[in-house]
Amino acid sequence: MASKRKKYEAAQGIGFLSPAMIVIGIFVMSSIVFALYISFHKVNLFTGYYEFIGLDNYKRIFTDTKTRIAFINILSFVAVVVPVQTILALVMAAVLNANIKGKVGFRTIYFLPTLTSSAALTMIFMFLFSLNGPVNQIALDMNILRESINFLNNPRFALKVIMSMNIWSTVPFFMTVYLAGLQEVPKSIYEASDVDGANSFQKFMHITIPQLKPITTFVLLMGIIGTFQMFDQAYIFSNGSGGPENSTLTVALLIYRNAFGQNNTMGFATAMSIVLSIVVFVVSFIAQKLNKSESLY
Amino acid sequence: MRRFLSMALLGILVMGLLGGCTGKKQESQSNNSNNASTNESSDSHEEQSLEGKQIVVGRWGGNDAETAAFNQMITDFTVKTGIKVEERIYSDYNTELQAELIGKTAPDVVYVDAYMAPFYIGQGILMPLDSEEFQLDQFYDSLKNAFLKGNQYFAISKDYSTLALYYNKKWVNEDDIPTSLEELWQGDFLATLKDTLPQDVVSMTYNQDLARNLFYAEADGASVIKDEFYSNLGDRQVVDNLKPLMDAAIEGKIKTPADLGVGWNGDAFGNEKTAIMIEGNWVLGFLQQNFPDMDYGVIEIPTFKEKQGTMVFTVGYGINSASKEVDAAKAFIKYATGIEGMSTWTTGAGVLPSRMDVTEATKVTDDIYKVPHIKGAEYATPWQKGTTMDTINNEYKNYIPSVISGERTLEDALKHAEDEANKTIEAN
Repeated sequence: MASKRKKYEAAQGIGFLSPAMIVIGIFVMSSIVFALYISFHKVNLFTGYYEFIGLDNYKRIFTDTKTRIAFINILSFVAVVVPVQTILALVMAAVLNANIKGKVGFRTIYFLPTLTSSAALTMIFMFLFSLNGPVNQIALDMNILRESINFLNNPRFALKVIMSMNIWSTVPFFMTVYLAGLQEVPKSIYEASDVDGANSFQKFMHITIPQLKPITTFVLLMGIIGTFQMFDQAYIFSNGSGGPENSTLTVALLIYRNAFGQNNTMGFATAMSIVLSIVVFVVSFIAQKLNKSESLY
Repeated sequence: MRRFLSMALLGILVMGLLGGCTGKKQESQSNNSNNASTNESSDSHEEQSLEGKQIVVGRWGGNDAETAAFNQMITDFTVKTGIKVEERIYSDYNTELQAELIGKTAPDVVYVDAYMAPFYIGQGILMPLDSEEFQLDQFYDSLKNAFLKGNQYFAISKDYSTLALYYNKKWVNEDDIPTSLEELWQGDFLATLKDTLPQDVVSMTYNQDLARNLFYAEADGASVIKDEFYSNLGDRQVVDNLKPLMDAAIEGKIKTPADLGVGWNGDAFGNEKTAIMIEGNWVLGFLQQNFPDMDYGVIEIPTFKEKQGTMVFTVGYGINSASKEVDAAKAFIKYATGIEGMSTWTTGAGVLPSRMDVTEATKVTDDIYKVPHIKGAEYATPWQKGTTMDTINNEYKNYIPSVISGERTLEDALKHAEDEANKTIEAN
């Protein structure tokens, strides 16, 4: 009787799971398998031409200068953006969690950038950093600069503009995540530390940060995944070229350029995207290990 | 009870899934019956066998005037032939269309940009079209030939645009504008003009894009492509040809729209951030709509190396070779590129007709703003050059900024752009 009931429950479970499994199977798993398959081929998807070329597409990733530049760009982007956005979000959340006047208003205002689409945001930042734009004007008025800097057309600055834009737009979202996490930190620990005579900074360093480790892991992972896949901002910023001088060429942009347009090198593009996902996985794994979030439990 | 509830829930779920499928079927059935009723009510005697057919036309979105003109044209077409037209509008046209072509779900009739035509023709996804059937003898040669491979045409030009010089009459007197580009960029005109302009207005804007720069890059028989595929940007003659423009940009006489914090020339010109620009006739509708009080003039682009030059851009209608409604698709293209359809489209959308007889019939030459654009069509360089132009232009856009910022010489930048492009082309 019991086994019949078990079977019945299993059937129920499978029944409820199957719609999601079917959808994920068709739209996610099968495309991953297909991508793997074509990454070993020279393909023309228009004509249905497939030629097995083994690891040639993967080998090309390591010899292609463009790909190397793209990976270096995106790694430096991640190395700057992820720590900065995580620290800023944590600090801002801690400040907004304190009993300051009008904190609800501040929270709302700080959250606004998250609601702007990244395309619109890119246009706004391109205006802000343009040759005659407000950033240059303010710097000139305050005598910080002697003449305007062409942020958009200078390889030394272009990626940094995108970095600042990315940080500005993602910090509010992560700040909200941290704010939610802060509500869960037991008040009693802070009270105990008060008794021990800890100051605010000590409380932040020794209670808030360790208590928020699981949240930090989430923020780091989301940050790493999001920044590695950065595409639209670089695409709009450089008009698709990855310029000036390849400074805004990201891996996702290069994948797009190889897959579409007049290039039709879909096999190479998929190989690159598989390597990118491996890199994302490895970096995320290291970040998670470094943060040791599970040690709390 | 619990058992009953979970069974019921499961049942609802399964029904929902199946329902989704049947719902679609019903929809398509009702569509068919709609078609049938159009069938009956249509009074057209032409294309009798095609009545009730439905085709999908893929295009990119345009401004309000273009959308209205296109809708008018398809309404007229449906009334005349009984063929229903469903529009599919894309935002990132070539990417989305390519995905659909691969997935075999692309529309029957598609917009084909002349620039992308060699690629699409090479992939065999466009159906060859008969020149007599589509009256190609009435079309301007450069426009019909943009879709020619071998002796076969693969799309029919629906309209075209060329570049011309726009100046703001508030600040610029037409007679003062130099008659050659060399004089314009290298002489004192732009610097003198700058002194008379308000502080935040620049004399002229330009673009760092081969789609705009190709005609002077290739002046005097130079070519940015060698051996059919490879980049030739570093060629001595190409470098010399581009030098006057780049020198003017280095000296700060001309700026890009991005330097001014706007997206394109039209924005910079309309918002009076620049006094002169070189732009296509698509800007006319934009200016009329957003800046109706603006007083501006349009002239042909000054000569370069003593010759007139400009760019011409054209888009055609092509038939997806996987289309199941070839006859209806042909009927649509015949109408849209015929006298009636093209007249409706070009007058409504403010674009230029590709047919000589429509140019006459619509009296488009009476429009003083369009005349310089129409004249330009006679000597223009088409924006189309093989299947590697994407890569070549990408590298051009990649390296030109360093020339302007003074970090590289033009020669060095173009040599780098050439090498990088050729590396990519070889690897592909």
